[in-house]
Amino acid sequence: MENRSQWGTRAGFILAAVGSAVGLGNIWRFPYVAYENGGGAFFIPYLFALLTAGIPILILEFTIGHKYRGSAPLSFFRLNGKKTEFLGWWGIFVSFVISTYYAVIIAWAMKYTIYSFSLSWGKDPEAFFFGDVLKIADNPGEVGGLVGGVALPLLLVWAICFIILLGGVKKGIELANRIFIPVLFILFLFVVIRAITLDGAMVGLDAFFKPDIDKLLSPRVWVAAYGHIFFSLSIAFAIMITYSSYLPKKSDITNNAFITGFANSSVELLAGIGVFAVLGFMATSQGVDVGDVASAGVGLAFVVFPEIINQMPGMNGIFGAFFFLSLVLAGLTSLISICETYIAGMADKFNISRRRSVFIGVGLSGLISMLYATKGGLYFLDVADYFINQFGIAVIGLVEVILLAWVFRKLGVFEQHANAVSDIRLGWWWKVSLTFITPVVLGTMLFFLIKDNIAENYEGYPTSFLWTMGWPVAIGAFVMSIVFTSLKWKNNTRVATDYEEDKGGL
Amino acid sequence: MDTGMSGSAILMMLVGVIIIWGGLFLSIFYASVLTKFKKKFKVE
Repeated sequence: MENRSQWGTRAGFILAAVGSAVGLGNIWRFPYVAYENGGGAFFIPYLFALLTAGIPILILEFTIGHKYRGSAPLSFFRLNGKKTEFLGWWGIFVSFVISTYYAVIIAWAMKYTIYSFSLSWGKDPEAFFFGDVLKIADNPGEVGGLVGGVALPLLLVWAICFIILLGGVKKGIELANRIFIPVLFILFLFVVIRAITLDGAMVGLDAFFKPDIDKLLSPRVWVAAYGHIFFSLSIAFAIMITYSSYLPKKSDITNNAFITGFANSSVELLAGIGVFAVLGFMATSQGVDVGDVASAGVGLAFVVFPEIINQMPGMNGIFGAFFFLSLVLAGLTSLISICETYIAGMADKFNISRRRSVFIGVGLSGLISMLYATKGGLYFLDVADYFINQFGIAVIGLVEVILLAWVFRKLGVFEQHANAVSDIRLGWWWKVSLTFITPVVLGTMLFFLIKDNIAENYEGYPTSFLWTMGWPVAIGAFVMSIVFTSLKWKNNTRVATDYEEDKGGL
Repeated sequence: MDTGMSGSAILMMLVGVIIIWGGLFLSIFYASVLTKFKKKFKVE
């Protein structure tokens, strides 16, 4: 029987899972999604989605990883041979694409952490970001040259990631998360406390929490809540299966999933309070509505926040540095988990050492990520991010629940496994959530998505550009999953032995 | 006391805080305290 790596402690696993779930989206996506979809009223569909899709799928993926004790492809292979192995590879290729551009955003945040001390962005943060930092190309699809100021911190991000992953599960990933997550929490708490003490903070919080109950009647608001929960929890792209495969046999799967899910939401709520408090400050000082300054994503972090930092009455530099360092830490802990999926997958499938797998995996994704460090990098990043998230993760999630709940009818087996090792017993709500609610909502989400994309091109990009960088990336992840599934497992004793031992015990 | 926030906004903030942070607290409490209690007193 193989000696599979294990987490040192339960807290180590939970911190790593929370570190994976808590990423850039918690800080810069959730507040705006909530504001746009009913403010305080959004919490109703959001909590409903957390309890009927987020946590149930987390339990499902923790159970698969724990029961079959392998990387995502190996776990799915042990589950039902090649008929399900492709699901693992599909998630891995989605993760691979995400890792290539995610690292670049962390590199920008690293630069901005340093810039914060001297407020280097000056009086026009927008021109500074797009012009001085990114040196952005005029048109989408233009590569331009490599931007040295982005490529260098990007190399640093990959070097950190490489060292952590080379350290292995316990001495690398667990140790990093044990340090990064508490530091992230302290830094972000400082940011939030400073934010809510600014003039106008309550105006922002009022805008964020004020419920627009009528929005609850819109199906799109419910779909937005499910979509956000889905993207936020690192589910359906192999991460949670990989991480839970390193759990010891006696591990409380169900409660770990509840802790991970609620911890992720707790950080999102904290981020919502922090972000809207500073937006309230900005709106008040400019004499405009909060809605006029509310934004999300790259624009919020690298344009709006520097503008706010400029206007703050004191502690500007330290506030900025803590905010951007929070982004760096949240991003790094997620990036590590994303890379771990393909490192574990390659090691299992091709029977190579972890060290070699880290060299190949991080080396390849680091090389490809240089595309996003070019002058046209932001356009490539924007389109790749949209298509791989929307048409990658959502489709995998839908296929995963349909195959496991309807085609292969495995939920009973998983329920039995989870209940055998957990204090909280799974009941009918778990099966109903995965068999009916999740497929219906994800199906509806995809329907709206396809409808919207047929009606108009994403962000008005030229069709030729979307067919170069968008659709091929999403479709390519699926095609590559079929190619890798068709390859043979290399003389691998892991494929059968370890799982057989487990099966006997259940 | 004027908080600068409307009553409905305060209510929704409390709902979010109580359910989400309360849920986190309960699940950690269950994992740490109750599990140890059950082990110590061998409660099935």
